[in-house]
Amino acid sequence: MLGFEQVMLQCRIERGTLERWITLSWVRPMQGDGEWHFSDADIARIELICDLHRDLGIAEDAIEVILPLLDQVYALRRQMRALTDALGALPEDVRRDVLARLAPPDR
Amino acid sequence: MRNPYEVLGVSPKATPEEIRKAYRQLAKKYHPDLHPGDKAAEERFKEVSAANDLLSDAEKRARFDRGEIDEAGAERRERSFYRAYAEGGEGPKYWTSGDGEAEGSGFTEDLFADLFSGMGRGAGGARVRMRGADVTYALRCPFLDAVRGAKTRVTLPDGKTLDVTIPPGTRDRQTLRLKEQGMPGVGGGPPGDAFVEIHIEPHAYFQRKDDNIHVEVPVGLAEAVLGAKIQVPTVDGPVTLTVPFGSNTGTTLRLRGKGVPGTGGRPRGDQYVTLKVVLPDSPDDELRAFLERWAPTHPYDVRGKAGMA
Repeated sequence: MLGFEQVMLQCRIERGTLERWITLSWVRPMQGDGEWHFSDADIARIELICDLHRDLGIAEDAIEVILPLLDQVYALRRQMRALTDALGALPEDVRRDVLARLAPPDR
Repeated sequence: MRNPYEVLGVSPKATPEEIRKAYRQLAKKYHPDLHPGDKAAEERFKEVSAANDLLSDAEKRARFDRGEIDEAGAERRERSFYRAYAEGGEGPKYWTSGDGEAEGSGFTEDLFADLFSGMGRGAGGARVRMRGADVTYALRCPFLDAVRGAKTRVTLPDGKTLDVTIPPGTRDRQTLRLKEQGMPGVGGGPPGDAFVEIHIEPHAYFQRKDDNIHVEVPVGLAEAVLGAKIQVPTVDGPVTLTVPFGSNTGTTLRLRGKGVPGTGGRPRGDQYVTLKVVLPDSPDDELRAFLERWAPTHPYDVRGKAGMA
Protein backbone atom coordinates (compact mmCIF):
# COMPACT_ATOMS: atom_id res chain seq x y z
CA MET A 1 0.00 0.00 0.00
CA LEU A 2 1.37 3.40 -1.00
CA GLY A 3 0.15 6.88 -0.09
CA PHE A 4 -0.76 9.72 -2.44
CA GLU A 5 2.66 11.41 -2.49
CA GLN A 6 4.53 8.13 -3.01
CA VAL A 7 2.33 7.33 -6.00
CA MET A 8 2.89 10.82 -7.45
CA LEU A 9 6.64 10.22 -7.28
CA GLN A 10 6.67 6.64 -8.52
CA CYS A 11 4.36 7.29 -11.48
CA ARG A 12 5.69 10.81 -12.14
CA ILE A 13 2.22 12.25 -12.08
CA GLU A 14 0.86 15.63 -10.98
CA ARG A 15 -1.36 15.99 -7.95
CA GLY A 16 -4.23 17.52 -9.94
CA THR A 17 -4.12 14.75 -12.55
CA LEU A 18 -4.24 11.95 -9.99
CA GLU A 19 -7.05 13.70 -8.12
CA ARG A 20 -9.01 14.02 -11.34
CA TRP A 21 -8.52 10.33 -12.19
CA ILE A 22 -9.78 9.39 -8.73
CA THR A 23 -12.80 11.67 -9.19
CA LEU A 24 -13.48 10.03 -12.54
CA SER A 25 -13.28 6.63 -10.77
CA TRP A 26 -10.51 5.56 -13.13
CA VAL A 27 -8.52 4.71 -10.04
CA ARG A 28 -10.23 3.57 -6.87
CA PRO A 29 -7.84 3.58 -3.93
CA MET A 30 -9.03 2.88 -0.41
CA GLN A 31 -9.59 5.73 1.98
CA GLY A 32 -8.83 5.48 5.67
CA ASP A 33 -7.66 7.91 8.33
CA GLY A 34 -8.35 10.71 5.84
CA GLU A 35 -5.71 9.38 3.47
CA TRP A 36 -5.64 7.43 0.22
CA HIS A 37 -4.12 3.95 0.18
CA PHE A 38 -3.12 2.58 -3.24
CA SER A 39 -2.78 -1.16 -3.78
CA ASP A 40 -0.32 -2.69 -6.26
CA ALA A 41 -3.22 -3.17 -8.66
CA ASP A 42 -4.19 0.49 -8.36
CA ILE A 43 -0.61 1.52 -9.14
CA ALA A 44 -0.34 -0.79 -12.15
CA ARG A 45 -3.60 0.71 -13.37
CA ILE A 46 -2.25 4.25 -12.99
CA GLU A 47 0.80 3.24 -15.03
CA LEU A 48 -1.50 1.85 -17.70
CA ILE A 49 -3.43 5.12 -17.87
CA CYS A 50 -0.12 7.04 -18.00
CA ASP A 51 0.99 4.84 -20.92
CA LEU A 52 -2.23 5.45 -22.79
CA HIS A 53 -2.22 9.17 -22.14
CA ARG A 54 1.43 10.16 -22.14
CA ASP A 55 3.09 7.62 -24.43
CA LEU A 56 0.31 6.76 -26.82
CA GLY A 57 -1.07 10.30 -26.94
CA ILE A 58 -4.63 9.20 -26.25
CA ALA A 59 -6.79 12.08 -25.01
CA GLU A 60 -8.55 11.75 -21.66
CA ASP A 61 -12.02 11.69 -23.15
CA ALA A 62 -10.99 8.77 -25.35
CA ILE A 63 -9.54 7.00 -22.31
CA GLU A 64 -12.95 7.36 -20.76
CA VAL A 65 -14.22 5.12 -23.57
CA ILE A 66 -11.25 2.74 -23.63
CA LEU A 67 -10.99 1.95 -19.92
CA PRO A 68 -14.52 0.59 -19.44
CA LEU A 69 -14.11 -1.51 -22.57
CA LEU A 70 -10.81 -2.84 -21.27
CA ASP A 71 -12.42 -3.58 -17.91
CA GLN A 72 -15.14 -5.50 -19.68
CA VAL A 73 -12.54 -7.56 -21.50
CA TYR A 74 -10.91 -8.44 -18.19
CA ALA A 75 -14.28 -9.20 -16.62
CA LEU A 76 -15.09 -11.50 -19.53
CA ARG A 77 -11.74 -13.21 -19.19
CA ARG A 78 -12.41 -13.80 -15.49
CA GLN A 79 -15.79 -15.27 -16.32
CA MET A 80 -14.34 -17.35 -19.09
CA ARG A 81 -11.82 -18.75 -16.67
CA ALA A 82 -14.55 -19.49 -14.15
CA LEU A 83 -16.47 -21.27 -16.87
CA THR A 84 -13.52 -23.30 -18.09
CA ASP A 85 -12.64 -24.19 -14.49
CA ALA A 86 -16.21 -25.34 -13.96
CA LEU A 87 -16.15 -27.33 -17.17
CA GLY A 88 -12.81 -28.81 -16.23
CA ALA A 89 -14.34 -30.26 -13.08
CA LEU A 90 -17.01 -32.12 -15.02
CA PRO A 91 -16.71 -35.80 -15.94
CA GLU A 92 -14.64 -36.63 -18.99
CA ASP A 93 -17.57 -37.61 -21.23
CA VAL A 94 -19.45 -34.39 -20.45
CA ARG A 95 -16.37 -32.34 -21.29
CA ARG A 96 -15.98 -34.19 -24.55
CA ASP A 97 -19.60 -33.50 -25.32
CA VAL A 98 -19.12 -29.78 -24.68
CA LEU A 99 -16.02 -29.72 -26.87
CA ALA A 100 -17.89 -31.44 -29.66
CA ARG A 101 -20.59 -28.79 -29.52
CA LEU A 102 -17.97 -26.01 -29.66
CA ALA A 103 -16.25 -27.51 -32.70
CA PRO A 104 -17.25 -26.12 -36.08
CA PRO A 105 -19.93 -28.26 -37.75
CA ASP A 106 -18.73 -30.85 -40.25
CA ARG A 107 -19.14 -29.92 -43.84
CA MET B 1 19.10 -6.64 -27.24
CA ARG B 2 18.60 -5.41 -30.77
CA ASN B 3 19.55 -2.09 -32.28
CA PRO B 4 16.93 0.45 -31.16
CA TYR B 5 16.49 1.85 -34.67
CA GLU B 6 15.69 -1.67 -35.87
CA VAL B 7 13.32 -2.24 -32.98
CA LEU B 8 11.32 0.84 -33.84
CA GLY B 9 11.75 0.25 -37.59
CA VAL B 10 13.09 3.71 -38.31
CA SER B 11 16.21 4.90 -40.10
CA PRO B 12 19.15 6.25 -38.09
CA LYS B 13 18.31 9.64 -39.63
CA ALA B 14 14.73 9.61 -38.39
CA THR B 15 13.38 12.86 -36.93
CA PRO B 16 12.10 12.92 -33.33
CA GLU B 17 8.59 13.13 -34.75
CA GLU B 18 9.11 9.96 -36.82
CA ILE B 19 10.48 8.17 -33.78
CA ARG B 20 7.53 9.24 -31.69
CA LYS B 21 5.09 8.03 -34.34
CA ALA B 22 6.84 4.70 -34.78
CA TYR B 23 6.90 4.15 -31.04
CA ARG B 24 3.22 4.96 -30.67
CA GLN B 25 2.28 2.53 -33.39
CA LEU B 26 4.25 -0.30 -31.83
CA ALA B 27 3.20 0.51 -28.27
CA LYS B 28 -0.45 0.33 -29.29
CA LYS B 29 0.24 -2.95 -30.97
CA TYR B 30 2.09 -4.52 -28.07
CA HIS B 31 0.98 -2.91 -24.80
CA PRO B 32 0.44 -5.98 -22.57
CA ASP B 33 -2.60 -4.52 -20.86
CA LEU B 34 -4.29 -4.11 -24.23
CA HIS B 35 -3.47 -7.73 -25.11
CA PRO B 36 -4.15 -9.69 -21.95
CA GLY B 37 -3.97 -13.09 -23.62
CA ASP B 38 -0.72 -12.54 -25.49
CA LYS B 39 2.20 -13.70 -23.37
CA ALA B 40 4.85 -12.46 -25.81
CA ALA B 41 3.44 -8.93 -25.85
CA GLU B 42 5.17 -7.96 -22.62
CA GLU B 43 8.67 -8.76 -23.90
CA ARG B 44 8.03 -6.97 -27.17
CA PHE B 45 6.60 -3.95 -25.37
CA LYS B 46 9.59 -3.72 -23.04
CA GLU B 47 11.95 -3.85 -25.98
CA VAL B 48 10.03 -1.15 -27.81
CA SER B 49 9.86 1.03 -24.68
CA ALA B 50 13.58 0.69 -24.04
CA ALA B 51 14.35 1.65 -27.64
CA ASN B 52 12.07 4.65 -27.32
CA ASP B 53 13.64 5.72 -24.03
CA LEU B 54 16.98 5.81 -25.73
CA LEU B 55 15.99 7.45 -29.00
CA SER B 56 13.45 9.93 -27.68
CA ASP B 57 16.05 11.53 -25.43
CA ALA B 58 18.17 13.74 -27.68
CA GLU B 59 21.20 13.51 -25.43
CA LYS B 60 21.09 9.73 -25.01
CA ARG B 61 20.47 9.28 -28.71
CA ALA B 62 23.52 11.38 -29.58
CA ARG B 63 25.66 9.39 -27.15
CA PHE B 64 24.37 6.14 -28.63
CA ASP B 65 25.09 7.39 -32.17
CA ARG B 66 28.64 8.26 -31.12
CA GLY B 67 28.98 4.79 -29.63
CA GLU B 68 29.37 6.03 -26.05
CA ILE B 69 26.54 3.89 -24.73
CA ASP B 70 25.06 0.68 -26.02
CA GLU B 71 21.46 -0.38 -26.63
CA ALA B 72 21.04 -1.07 -22.93
CA GLY B 73 22.01 2.52 -22.15
CA ALA B 74 18.50 3.40 -21.20
CA GLU B 75 17.76 1.72 -17.95
CA ARG B 76 14.19 1.00 -17.18
CA ARG B 77 12.83 0.44 -13.76
CA GLU B 78 10.99 -2.81 -13.22
CA ARG B 79 7.27 -2.43 -13.36
CA SER B 80 4.29 -4.70 -13.27
CA PHE B 81 1.45 -4.48 -15.72
CA TYR B 82 -2.17 -4.07 -14.83
CA ARG B 83 -3.22 -7.28 -16.54
CA ALA B 84 -1.42 -9.24 -13.84
CA TYR B 85 -4.00 -7.92 -11.36
CA ALA B 86 -7.04 -7.38 -13.55
CA GLU B 87 -7.92 -11.04 -13.68
CA GLY B 88 -7.33 -11.55 -9.98
CA GLY B 89 -9.24 -10.60 -6.89
CA GLU B 90 -8.97 -6.87 -7.42
CA GLY B 91 -10.39 -6.94 -10.91
CA PRO B 92 -14.08 -6.81 -9.91
CA LYS B 93 -13.41 -3.51 -8.18
CA TYR B 94 -13.08 -1.92 -11.62
CA TRP B 95 -15.87 -3.63 -13.42
CA THR B 96 -19.29 -4.02 -12.00
CA SER B 97 -22.19 -3.85 -14.32
CA GLY B 98 -25.53 -2.64 -13.00
CA ASP B 99 -26.26 -6.20 -12.03
CA GLY B 100 -23.11 -6.73 -10.08
CA GLU B 101 -20.80 -9.57 -10.77
CA ALA B 102 -19.34 -12.52 -9.01
CA GLU B 103 -15.76 -13.55 -8.80
CA GLY B 104 -14.47 -17.06 -8.67
CA SER B 105 -17.62 -19.07 -8.17
CA GLY B 106 -18.98 -16.33 -10.28
CA PHE B 107 -21.65 -16.90 -12.66
CA THR B 108 -23.76 -13.91 -12.55
CA GLU B 109 -23.88 -11.04 -14.93
CA ASP B 110 -25.55 -11.23 -18.24
CA LEU B 111 -23.49 -13.87 -19.95
CA PHE B 112 -23.87 -16.54 -17.31
CA ALA B 113 -27.30 -15.39 -16.23
CA ASP B 114 -28.47 -15.97 -19.79
CA LEU B 115 -26.66 -19.24 -19.99
CA PHE B 116 -28.35 -20.65 -16.93
CA SER B 117 -31.76 -19.12 -17.37
CA GLY B 118 -32.47 -21.32 -20.30
CA MET B 119 -30.76 -20.45 -23.39
CA GLY B 120 -29.64 -16.91 -23.57
CA ARG B 121 -31.04 -16.32 -26.98
CA GLY B 122 -32.62 -13.12 -25.83
CA ALA B 123 -36.30 -13.54 -25.23
CA GLY B 124 -37.85 -15.81 -22.62
CA GLY B 125 -36.08 -17.48 -19.76
CA ALA B 126 -36.70 -16.49 -16.18
CA ARG B 127 -34.14 -14.15 -14.69
CA VAL B 128 -31.63 -15.77 -12.44
CA ARG B 129 -31.44 -14.77 -8.83
CA MET B 130 -27.85 -14.78 -7.66
CA ARG B 131 -25.90 -13.65 -4.70
CA GLY B 132 -23.51 -10.70 -5.33
CA ALA B 133 -19.75 -11.06 -5.42
CA ASP B 134 -17.54 -11.04 -2.36
CA VAL B 135 -14.92 -8.31 -2.29
CA THR B 136 -11.66 -8.07 -0.39
CA TYR B 137 -10.09 -4.97 1.07
CA ALA B 138 -6.92 -4.32 3.05
CA LEU B 139 -7.02 -2.05 6.08
CA ARG B 140 -4.10 -0.64 8.02
CA CYS B 141 -4.61 -0.70 11.76
CA PRO B 142 -2.56 0.86 14.59
CA PHE B 143 -0.95 -1.69 16.92
CA LEU B 144 -2.92 -0.76 20.02
CA ASP B 145 -6.25 -0.72 18.16
CA ALA B 146 -5.64 -4.30 17.10
CA VAL B 147 -4.77 -5.39 20.65
CA ARG B 148 -7.54 -3.52 22.45
CA GLY B 149 -10.15 -3.55 19.70
CA ALA B 150 -11.54 -0.47 17.98
CA LYS B 151 -14.18 0.80 15.69
CA THR B 152 -13.09 2.49 12.50
CA ARG B 153 -14.78 3.83 9.41
CA VAL B 154 -13.36 3.22 5.95
CA THR B 155 -14.38 4.80 2.68
CA LEU B 156 -14.52 2.28 -0.13
CA PRO B 157 -13.46 2.98 -3.70
CA ASP B 158 -17.08 3.48 -4.72
CA GLY B 159 -17.60 6.14 -2.05
CA LYS B 160 -19.59 3.88 0.26
CA THR B 161 -18.50 3.95 3.89
CA LEU B 162 -18.15 0.85 5.98
CA ASP B 163 -18.02 0.69 9.76
CA VAL B 164 -15.49 -1.92 10.74
CA THR B 165 -15.32 -3.28 14.27
CA ILE B 166 -11.85 -4.58 15.00
CA PRO B 167 -12.24 -7.11 17.81
CA PRO B 168 -9.74 -7.15 20.72
CA GLY B 169 -6.81 -9.45 20.01
CA THR B 170 -6.99 -9.14 16.23
CA ARG B 171 -3.96 -10.75 14.59
CA ASP B 172 -1.94 -9.40 11.68
CA ARG B 173 -3.44 -10.42 8.30
CA GLN B 174 -6.60 -11.59 10.05
CA THR B 175 -9.61 -11.26 7.78
CA LEU B 176 -12.89 -9.85 9.07
CA ARG B 177 -16.08 -10.71 7.30
CA LEU B 178 -18.72 -8.01 6.88
CA LYS B 179 -21.89 -9.74 5.91
CA GLU B 180 -23.68 -8.48 2.81
CA GLN B 181 -21.34 -5.51 2.34
CA GLY B 182 -19.94 -6.79 -0.98
CA MET B 183 -21.25 -6.37 -4.50
CA PRO B 184 -25.00 -6.15 -5.04
CA GLY B 185 -26.87 -9.30 -5.97
CA VAL B 186 -28.41 -10.14 -9.31
CA GLY B 187 -32.14 -10.26 -9.92
CA GLY B 188 -33.04 -9.57 -6.30
CA GLY B 189 -30.37 -11.87 -4.89
CA PRO B 190 -28.58 -10.90 -1.66
CA PRO B 191 -25.36 -8.88 -1.79
CA GLY B 192 -22.01 -10.62 -1.36
CA ASP B 193 -19.80 -10.21 1.68
CA ALA B 194 -16.91 -7.83 2.20
CA PHE B 195 -13.70 -9.28 3.60
CA VAL B 196 -11.33 -6.87 5.28
CA GLU B 197 -7.76 -8.01 5.79
CA ILE B 198 -6.16 -6.26 8.77
CA HIS B 199 -2.55 -5.10 8.41
CA ILE B 200 -1.21 -4.18 11.84
CA GLU B 201 1.32 -1.34 12.02
CA PRO B 202 4.38 -1.84 14.22
CA HIS B 203 4.54 -0.10 17.60
CA ALA B 204 7.39 2.07 18.85
CA TYR B 205 8.24 -0.25 21.76
CA PHE B 206 5.67 -3.00 22.12
CA GLN B 207 6.17 -6.23 20.26
CA ARG B 208 3.65 -8.99 19.98
CA LYS B 209 4.32 -12.70 19.94
CA ASP B 210 1.09 -14.65 19.77
CA ASP B 211 -0.91 -13.45 22.76
CA ASN B 212 2.05 -12.05 24.68
CA ILE B 213 3.47 -8.54 24.58
CA HIS B 214 7.21 -8.00 24.86
CA VAL B 215 8.80 -4.70 25.81
CA GLU B 216 12.33 -3.66 26.70
CA VAL B 217 12.48 -1.20 29.60
CA PRO B 218 15.63 0.74 30.55
CA VAL B 219 16.57 0.85 34.27
CA GLY B 220 19.28 2.83 36.05
CA LEU B 221 22.31 1.20 37.65
CA ALA B 222 21.02 1.76 41.18
CA GLU B 223 17.55 0.49 40.30
CA ALA B 224 19.07 -2.73 38.98
CA VAL B 225 21.52 -3.32 41.80
CA LEU B 226 19.38 -2.20 44.71
CA GLY B 227 15.93 -3.00 43.34
CA ALA B 228 13.13 -0.49 42.78
CA LYS B 229 9.51 0.08 41.98
CA ILE B 230 9.18 1.56 38.48
CA GLN B 231 6.40 2.54 36.11
CA VAL B 232 6.23 0.48 32.91
CA PRO B 233 3.85 0.91 29.98
CA THR B 234 1.33 -1.80 29.17
CA VAL B 235 -1.29 -1.87 26.44
CA ASP B 236 -3.81 -0.73 29.09
CA GLY B 237 -1.62 2.11 30.43
CA PRO B 238 1.23 2.32 32.93
CA VAL B 239 1.50 -0.08 35.88
CA THR B 240 3.96 -0.33 38.77
CA LEU B 241 6.55 -3.10 38.48
CA THR B 242 8.89 -4.25 41.20
CA VAL B 243 12.47 -4.65 39.97
CA PRO B 244 14.12 -7.12 42.37
CA PHE B 245 17.54 -6.20 43.75
CA GLY B 246 20.39 -7.69 41.74
CA SER B 247 18.59 -7.42 38.39
CA ASN B 248 20.60 -7.18 35.19
CA THR B 249 20.33 -6.39 31.51
CA GLY B 250 18.29 -9.22 30.05
CA THR B 251 16.40 -9.96 33.25
CA THR B 252 12.84 -10.68 32.15
CA LEU B 253 9.85 -10.10 34.39
CA ARG B 254 6.32 -11.21 33.69
CA LEU B 255 3.17 -9.15 34.15
CA ARG B 256 0.51 -11.81 34.20
CA GLY B 257 -2.64 -11.09 32.24
CA LYS B 258 -1.32 -7.83 30.76
CA GLY B 259 -0.91 -9.19 27.24
CA VAL B 260 -3.31 -9.52 24.32
CA PRO B 261 -6.92 -10.33 25.22
CA GLY B 262 -7.55 -13.99 24.47
CA THR B 263 -9.82 -14.94 21.62
CA GLY B 264 -11.73 -18.15 21.13
CA GLY B 265 -11.70 -19.12 24.80
CA ARG B 266 -7.97 -18.70 25.38
CA PRO B 267 -6.93 -16.77 28.48
CA ARG B 268 -5.43 -13.33 28.11
CA GLY B 269 -1.70 -13.29 27.35
CA ASP B 270 1.09 -11.86 29.53
CA GLN B 271 3.47 -8.98 29.13
CA TYR B 272 7.17 -9.72 29.36
CA VAL B 273 9.40 -6.86 30.48
CA THR B 274 13.07 -7.25 29.62
CA LEU B 275 15.33 -4.94 31.58
CA LYS B 276 18.21 -3.02 30.09
CA VAL B 277 20.64 -1.48 32.53
CA VAL B 278 21.71 2.00 31.48
CA LEU B 279 24.64 3.86 33.07
CA PRO B 280 24.46 7.61 33.77
CA ASP B 281 24.86 9.80 30.68
CA SER B 282 27.93 11.66 31.95
CA PRO B 283 30.83 10.02 33.80
CA ASP B 284 30.50 10.43 37.53
CA ASP B 285 33.61 11.02 39.63
CA GLU B 286 32.21 9.37 42.72
CA LEU B 287 31.13 6.26 40.81
CA ARG B 288 34.56 6.09 39.18
CA ALA B 289 36.38 6.41 42.47
CA PHE B 290 34.21 3.70 43.96
CA LEU B 291 34.78 1.30 41.07
CA GLU B 292 38.54 1.86 41.13
CA ARG B 293 38.52 0.51 44.65
CA TRP B 294 35.88 -2.16 44.02
CA ALA B 295 36.93 -3.70 40.69
CA PRO B 296 40.35 -5.21 41.56
CA THR B 297 38.84 -7.34 44.31
CA HIS B 298 35.65 -8.33 42.37
CA PRO B 299 36.71 -9.64 38.95
CA TYR B 300 34.03 -11.26 36.78
CA ASP B 301 34.46 -12.74 33.31
CA VAL B 302 31.59 -11.30 31.23
CA ARG B 303 32.89 -12.18 27.76
CA GLY B 304 33.83 -15.70 28.75
CA LYS B 305 30.23 -16.19 29.83
CA ALA B 306 29.12 -14.93 26.43
CA GLY B 307 31.41 -17.42 24.72
CA MET B 308 33.74 -14.74 23.38
CA ALA B 309 36.84 -15.45 25.42
